Amino acid sequence: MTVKIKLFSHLKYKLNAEYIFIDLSDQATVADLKSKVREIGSSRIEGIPYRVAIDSKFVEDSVKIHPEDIVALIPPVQGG
Amino acid sequence: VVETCIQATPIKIKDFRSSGDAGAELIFYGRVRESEGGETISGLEYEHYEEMASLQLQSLAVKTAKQFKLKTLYCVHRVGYIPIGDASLYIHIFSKHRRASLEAMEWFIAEIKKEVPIWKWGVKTDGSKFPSKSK
Repeated sequence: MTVKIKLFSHLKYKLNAEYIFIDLSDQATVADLKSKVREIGSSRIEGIPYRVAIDSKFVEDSVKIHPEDIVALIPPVQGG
Repeated sequence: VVETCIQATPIKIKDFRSSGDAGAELIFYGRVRESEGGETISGLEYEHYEEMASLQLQSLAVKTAKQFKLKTLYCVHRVGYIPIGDASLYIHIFSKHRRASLEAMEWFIAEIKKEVPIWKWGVKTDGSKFPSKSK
């Protein structure tokens, strides 16, 4: 499956993209997604921490990803 | 009463009528400073993940009001471009006694800065933008 992933802040700036598209296996988890992001982003996003959100909720690494999920990478937030 | 809002327009103070049981009223404004990460700026651009930020902010407000037994928690976060001196955050709290308001305000702001997907971009005087490194 191909998953569309929304980017923000430093990740958007470093990858110069609002979204990235990542191919994952049908049984892929958030941990697999992070591994793919590391491959794609390589040195450009090294050292930028982020959490993964699916359908507007933060999720753990063990959560499975589905094709219809709305996935976002959330770097440290800075509201206020 | 718990009410939150994320908006792109300037923040206006809300005229609350205190309930007879609220002895403390606390108002906080967060304002844009003239520099960001050592750079002189004309303002900040607040980026947000719209759907998630609204949910997270409301959820946090409800949790805060319950935890500190507040009478009212009203919060507005402005997004988009905000010039120096303008408010980016407005929080208005009522509680029975002052300690609850003071503690709730500190806790709520700290949680916003951890859990609500909003980010700051510095906007230089030439219009170019850079992602902020500050919290």
